[in-house]
Amino acid sequence: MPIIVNLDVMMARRKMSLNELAGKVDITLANLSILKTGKAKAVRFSTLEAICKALECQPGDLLEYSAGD
Amino acid sequence: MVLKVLAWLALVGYVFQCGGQIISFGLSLFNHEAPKNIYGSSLSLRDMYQHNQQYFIYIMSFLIALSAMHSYVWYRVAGLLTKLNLQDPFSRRVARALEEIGIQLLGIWIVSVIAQQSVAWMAKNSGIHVGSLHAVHEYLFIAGIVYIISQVFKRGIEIQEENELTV
Repeated sequence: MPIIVNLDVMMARRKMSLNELAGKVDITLANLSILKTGKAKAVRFSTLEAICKALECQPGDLLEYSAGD
Repeated sequence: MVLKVLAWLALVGYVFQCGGQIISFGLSLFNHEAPKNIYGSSLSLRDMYQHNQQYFIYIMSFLIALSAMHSYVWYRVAGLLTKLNLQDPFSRRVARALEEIGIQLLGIWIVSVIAQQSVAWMAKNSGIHVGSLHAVHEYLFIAGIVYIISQVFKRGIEIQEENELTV
């Protein structure tokens, strides 16, 4: 998919674990894992908002478009 | 549950029909006398047998092949209904099975058309009226319907998967 999710990069920058983020954004670990591994087909605005709030970043920091893939 | 029972009953019926036709065919080859009415068929082949045994073998082969194909389709339907989980019926396995059943029904239609034309040609060639096969073109209609349902099913599964992968 040409949309790359950089959740792991942002988590590393903020030194936050998946468990910790899951607790903060109120999303199951399984769903967060789907998002992190790039298997997700869609992201709700509410989820994006919650992750941006928890990681103190912009949606653009989490999502990237790559035409090559 | 009712559907399962009906599918298995239909399967048993068609297997009996196929078996009956194979036994009739085998007996006719050894006894040198064709049965007046072939089990599960509207054709009367006794005169054809006496006139031209080769034509009789061709027609019987078509009848047995069609019965076997019917049995196989019902076997697939019975298998599908037995394994179907009504709590979560939309799975790729079910969609694939429906698609394959549609294609198999199309195969039955093709063989039926060939059989019908062949029987007509043999009857014309020998001058013996043997009757005609049962409704043939309905298989094309049913095959089309099943195939369309399978494609809708497939799309439904894609949407379901997309929904499941929405975070």
